[in-house]
Amino acid sequence: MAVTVRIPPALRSLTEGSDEVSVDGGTVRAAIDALEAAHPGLKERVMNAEGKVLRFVNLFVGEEDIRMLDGLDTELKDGDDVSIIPAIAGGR
Amino acid sequence: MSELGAKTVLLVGAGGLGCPAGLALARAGVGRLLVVDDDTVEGTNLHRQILFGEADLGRPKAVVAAERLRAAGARAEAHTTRFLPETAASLLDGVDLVVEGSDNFPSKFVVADGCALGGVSVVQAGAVRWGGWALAVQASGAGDEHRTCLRCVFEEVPSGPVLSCELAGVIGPVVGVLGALQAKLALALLAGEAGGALYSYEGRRDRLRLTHPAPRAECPHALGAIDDLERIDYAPSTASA
Repeated sequence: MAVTVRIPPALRSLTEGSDEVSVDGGTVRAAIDALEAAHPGLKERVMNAEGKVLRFVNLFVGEEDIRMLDGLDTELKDGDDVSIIPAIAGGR
Repeated sequence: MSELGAKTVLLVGAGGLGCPAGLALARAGVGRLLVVDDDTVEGTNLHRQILFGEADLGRPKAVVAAERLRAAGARAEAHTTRFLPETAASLLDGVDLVVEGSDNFPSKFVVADGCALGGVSVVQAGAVRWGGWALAVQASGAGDEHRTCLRCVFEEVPSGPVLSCELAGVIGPVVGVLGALQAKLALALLAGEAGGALYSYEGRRDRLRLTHPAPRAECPHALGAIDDLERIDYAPSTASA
């Protein structure tokens, strides 16, 4: 199950600058685990030690917020697009 | 006076977001613009803060921005202060909508909470490097169900390393796009359209994503759990990091 994970600018130092990474994963949780295996350190920027998505990070599958789906257990299909959208503060 | 000419918009931050947003709102005919910023113009600001020029270096941003917005047709006032729990109520008095373009999370959450308590609609945004986001929040009236707000989307002040424009840089046109988008969202809210739109912009790939996150049942504003800004701890959270 190949899916594309879109990496926000704040996390690209962990993906050698790549803004998207292709991983295998049948659920969002599995995709994040695969992402961690390929790019260690990414998971802790998305999830806490209890395995929950950090409160100031949003995950989308396509256009859908996973909160409105099945959370980390949201199933993925081949070609899906997972976006990580963290809070960004800048603006001045 | 047109309907828009009777509106008052508060700009929190006269920076890379607030400058283009304010100019667009002034030229669109918003009658009164209040500019809140306690900073002064620096040379490193000029590539993105389009209301300022070299002759303004060292001057208060709020004062210069108000001058330029008056020249663009609005009644503009400068407030050389910050939007804080203790200043929120007076700054929001008589305001129809807030455009928030501050550069730190505590300010964004204070503005979100102040607007929620005051029943004022707000357009918030953030941008660093090549990307950013913008969120249109329609005030929930008395008796209304809670509508999507910043705390529904980004639940609390983030912990850990934070990128800011000053530290990480921002591409001028990227923050300009988001500031212009804030102005468009503000005009839509002032015209009575619903909020709830969350835009995510990736400038390097020219990708603009629009989603409509639902209100979160556990949001403290949905629960009525925030009733006094001065009792809220706006320090970055460590609970979920």
